[in-house]
Amino acid sequence: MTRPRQLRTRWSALSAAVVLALLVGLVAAVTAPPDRLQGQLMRLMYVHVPAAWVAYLAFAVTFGASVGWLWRRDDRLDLVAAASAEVGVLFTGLAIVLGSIWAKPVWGVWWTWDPRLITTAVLLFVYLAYLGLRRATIERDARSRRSAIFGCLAFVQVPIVHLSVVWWRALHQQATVLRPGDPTMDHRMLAALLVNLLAFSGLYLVLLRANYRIGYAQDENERSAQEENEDLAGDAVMPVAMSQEVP
Amino acid sequence: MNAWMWVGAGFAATYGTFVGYVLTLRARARRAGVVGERGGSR
Repeated sequence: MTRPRQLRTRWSALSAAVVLALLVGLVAAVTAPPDRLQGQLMRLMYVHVPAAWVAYLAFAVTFGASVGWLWRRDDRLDLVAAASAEVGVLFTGLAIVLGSIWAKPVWGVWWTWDPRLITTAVLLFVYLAYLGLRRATIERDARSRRSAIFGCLAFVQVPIVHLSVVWWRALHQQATVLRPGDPTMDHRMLAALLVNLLAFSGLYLVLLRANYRIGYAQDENERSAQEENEDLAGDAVMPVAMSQEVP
Repeated sequence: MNAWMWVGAGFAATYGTFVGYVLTLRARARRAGVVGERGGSR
């Protein structure tokens, strides 16, 4: 199947725009003013927060596609759900690692049993389990159905992670941007954060599309291999069946 | 370790992860037959 040239050009343009936005984001993160309390370490927030945001976005897309599959039984939605979950896992892992790199000099520890950290780790394991479930189920329909149900249930974890800092006040700071009222940040810091949010979201789209295409191709390969096997099995059975018909 | 070294480590982890994942996707795409064939892309 050949894609229209216009569509391919559009995706190439988006990929180039994402690379440019990531570079602008890096410059903005390095040149933004230092924080009054955290100093230069605040700059890690320009990558940590967008990584966490993209993880939420990716799991929301998995949820939407899972609901869509249960409703319409469209295999493409199953592939979107799987592709988005994988990208979400990558960004969740990255958010945890970046949080850890920030926590060591600021909190004095790599890891602490804070509700936000625990719920985020659970989120990571839940979606790793989702990917594991997909690999463990060979039959296509059963895989799609189980994954869709799992994808719907797993999303419950996302609001729990986001609201964990409100429900259980502990070490992790509360939301600065996604909160009622205006963000409590200097406008130059906010601009640097927003540029990176935009760049990371664009990157998510590019990775999602690439992952979806791979899933689609693997699905096609799987289908044709299955058909070939069925044909071979048919050939093997035919002579026996024919011999029985001959008087 | 000064603050800029922690920041550098974080940025290196971020962009290194992106590059690593893109390379992984490219290898997987090639194996699945998505890229590497003229006119064969989906």
